[in-house]
Amino acid sequence: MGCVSMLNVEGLTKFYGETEAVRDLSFRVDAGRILGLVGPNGAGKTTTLRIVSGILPETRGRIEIGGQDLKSNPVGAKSLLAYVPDMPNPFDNLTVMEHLRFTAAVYGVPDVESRAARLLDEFELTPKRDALASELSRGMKQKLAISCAYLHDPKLILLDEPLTGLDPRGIRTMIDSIREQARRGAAVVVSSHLLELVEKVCETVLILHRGRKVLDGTLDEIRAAITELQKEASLEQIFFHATEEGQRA
Amino acid sequence: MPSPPHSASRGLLLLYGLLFKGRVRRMFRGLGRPKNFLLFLVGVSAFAGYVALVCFGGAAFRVEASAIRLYGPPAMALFFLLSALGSLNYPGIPFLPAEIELLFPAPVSRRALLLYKVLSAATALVVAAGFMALTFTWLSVNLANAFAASVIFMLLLGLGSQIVSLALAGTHERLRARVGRAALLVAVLALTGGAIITVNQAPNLPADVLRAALESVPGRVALFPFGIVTEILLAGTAPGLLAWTGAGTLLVVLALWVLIRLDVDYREASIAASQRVQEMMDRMRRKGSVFAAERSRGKGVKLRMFPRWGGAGPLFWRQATSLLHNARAIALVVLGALVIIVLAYHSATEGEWAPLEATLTLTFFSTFVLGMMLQYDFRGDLGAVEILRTLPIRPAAVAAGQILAPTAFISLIQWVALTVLVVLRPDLWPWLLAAGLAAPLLNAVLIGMENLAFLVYPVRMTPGTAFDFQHMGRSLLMGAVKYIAVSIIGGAAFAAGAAAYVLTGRSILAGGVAASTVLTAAVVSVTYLVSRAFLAFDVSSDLPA
Repeated sequence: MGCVSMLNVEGLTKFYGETEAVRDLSFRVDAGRILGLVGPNGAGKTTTLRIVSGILPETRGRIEIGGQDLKSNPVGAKSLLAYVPDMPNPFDNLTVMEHLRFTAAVYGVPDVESRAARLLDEFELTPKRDALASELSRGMKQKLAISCAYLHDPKLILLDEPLTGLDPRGIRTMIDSIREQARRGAAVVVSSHLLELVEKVCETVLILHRGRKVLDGTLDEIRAAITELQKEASLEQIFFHATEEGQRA
Repeated sequence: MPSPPHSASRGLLLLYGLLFKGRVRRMFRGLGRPKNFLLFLVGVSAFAGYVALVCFGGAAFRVEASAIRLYGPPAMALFFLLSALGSLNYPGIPFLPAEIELLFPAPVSRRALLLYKVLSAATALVVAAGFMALTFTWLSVNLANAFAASVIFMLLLGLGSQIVSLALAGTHERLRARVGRAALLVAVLALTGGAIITVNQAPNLPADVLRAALESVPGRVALFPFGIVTEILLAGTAPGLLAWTGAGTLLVVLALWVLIRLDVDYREASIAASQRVQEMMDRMRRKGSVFAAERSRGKGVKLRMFPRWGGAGPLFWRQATSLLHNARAIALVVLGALVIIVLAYHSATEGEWAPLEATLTLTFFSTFVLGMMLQYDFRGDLGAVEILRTLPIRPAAVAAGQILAPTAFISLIQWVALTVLVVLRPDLWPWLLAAGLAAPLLNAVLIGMENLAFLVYPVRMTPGTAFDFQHMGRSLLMGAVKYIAVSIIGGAAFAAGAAAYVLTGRSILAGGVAASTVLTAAVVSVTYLVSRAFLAFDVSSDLPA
């Protein structure tokens, strides 16, 4: 299972007007693997996730999701993925359950009631199933977005700062669920500033700086590649080393 | 696993239905509470009364069909053009943030998503057309004609704007700016030329020019869709109405076909448009006012910090600085001053009651209209109430500091207008001087009442407040209470002034002092009440969601 590529990004470049946000970025994520996407503010992490999820068009490059080209077959590619933004904005006038019903309809999910009940239970949203999204706290909105994302058993899950706004129990549930999704065979990309989380949960790491890839691989591979650092260097030390090197360059 | 793409359209339709249901649910929310139910009843009754008035009492004023045929199509075309010019500055179809986050990554084709958006927008446009029909029934044969014409016009307008938006979505900002400037220049030149011709030539020339333009080939082509809308308005028989509405529907279908066939990748432009709309909504929600939608553009005039005055000074300075940072507010102030001067002078040039007319005109247009618009006080500070509560300033000083900025700016406009009037009509100077002394006090009373009403029942502008009967009822009730209170205070001041004037042998000074004393007492009382309302304001429950 580990060698089936679920996400393949080649030469991804994105310009906003004349500003280059991402430059010639290539990486892949295999089924059942968790990739940590890290980088300072403005490194291009969210832009990369939004392009891979089909929200933004790329300027150049090629993206394949489960072997489906995102540009030539967007519907087929998108049916395999789920995206959770850093600050979810659900529909204010819809209830929690209505969000799940609509998501199930869009992705053609059968037995929505039982699946929804399981997810609501897992993320402690059952008491809020009939509450309007506008009545939810930020953490609850995050949980709702994650429930909607998991509803159709996606093959690729893109999570942008997934722990923002969650309480300690929610954080533990979220981490467990990310691992569970990977065990199920999904490829997961987690973008986060919480380097400890990335170190704990992700098997591979991709460090972005000013829109460019500065390092990627498993932590051991990265440590081996940086001779200046000790063998037991933490991701935080690696991060500062890589981004400060980039700064000097 | 699941995810057959063909189910996506069903999902979009389900979403459309759920959102519609959600909006209706919002309209009826909280009706279990007596206060909300009462406000809802007031709103519904006022709306029903208005509809009844339009349906059964609106025949008093009708416009000649020939005039509607002559002026209607170019007027509609101008409106359409202005709407298209707006798209030049801000291209892109704005999706809701939730739609971007949930639908853009979903297995939905771009066209299906566009059709969903057109359907959503069309529903809102049809509702808006209903209100438009009620407003413009007097231009039509009856309400049915007005409604059919409004629906077709609004759909053409909406689709036309979306076509322009999509067509421009991929173009460069500088190119759009150039096209926009060129179009604006042409429009200004055309209007200026038209105005010069109108002023210098025979009085019936504008009609002749319009008639010739309408009958020319380019005129017929450009105004063809709006000609159809005009015929829907004027169709005298049911078959005629059906036929013209059918023709209009064909035009709508054609516009829809063009929109779909354009097949532009609208995602980036839509996200940018959505972000702009969202920022506007956020500003309105945070500040609690529809007038806060526009972003402050420049730093404007710099003010030196005012003396502390127990804490009221810095608050006054903050609101005044905010006002000066807002280019639109400044433009409004200048425009307001011009309108007031023209109107007041026009009133004051003839007749025995000239001074009174001038003063009333001045009071109404400056105090009431500008008082509603310049919300640089508690009304535009909803998001900052929590901060204000933490400041080491007495509530009375907070209240005074908050209401001083609009009071001062309106007074400034009035003094400019009064000065111009003194120059134009030197004989009226004692009256104008008395008005100049009383003006800040009356302004403070009105602004204080506006703030008191707001703090007692705060409201936050959201998209859901449009067509919201509770909101409508609240506005009507609070408006009535506010203006009755101001009328009583104004009446008392006028009575005191008149009594002193008569009793002192027609001394304008004595009258002015008496009226000002009553108004000063009112200012102190209203400021005290505002400070009590500010103290009683519970940020945990009074901040509307």
